[in-house]
Amino acid sequence: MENIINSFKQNYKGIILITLASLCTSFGQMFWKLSEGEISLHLIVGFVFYGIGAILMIVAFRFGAFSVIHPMLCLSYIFVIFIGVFIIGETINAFTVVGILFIMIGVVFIGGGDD
Amino acid sequence: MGSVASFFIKKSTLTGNIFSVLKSNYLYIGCGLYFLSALLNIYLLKVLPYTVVLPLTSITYIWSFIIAYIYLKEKITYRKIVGISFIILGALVLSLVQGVA
Repeated sequence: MENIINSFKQNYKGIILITLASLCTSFGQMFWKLSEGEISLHLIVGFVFYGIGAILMIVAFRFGAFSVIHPMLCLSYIFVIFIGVFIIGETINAFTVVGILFIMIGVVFIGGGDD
Repeated sequence: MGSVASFFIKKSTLTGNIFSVLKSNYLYIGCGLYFLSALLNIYLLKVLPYTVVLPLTSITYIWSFIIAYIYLKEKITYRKIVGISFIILGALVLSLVQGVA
């Protein structure tokens, strides 16, 4: 428990930044989805969010350990469920949730340290 | 449809990796490829659900793994293999959604 608190203290700036980056990426793709591939305000707003997301991600790596920050990118897979269902109104099923869970486990395994 | 999507996502995320791997020397190539991957991403979102496309971008990690092994000579650990296996499994399940829906 103490380890977790210490890790958070050391990496909290990075953790906050990467959470924002994931959120920006999720919203960026949401706007792209809403644009339906046409040149529109949605498409441009999507690019802005996506770009900010990429920059935040790069900055986040400067403020925290890679093994902590990198797996946290998969937070966007949680955001995607909420945005997809509540904002876009897509229907998801058990396959979607199970698939996302597997991917998240995988990402944590890869990113969670090299030792 | 699911497999075509995966193929495109693979292509798009592959370019994303090159961006991060070579950014110091090949910044402009990287940025261009990153932009290209964004365009592929937009096209995919047009034809497939948002809740499927975004999580499938995790296929990036599989490519990172391969690129890191071949070009950067990073070592393969059991941990990484387990992680990659889970991601492949998850991506397959997500692709199945297309078949079911």
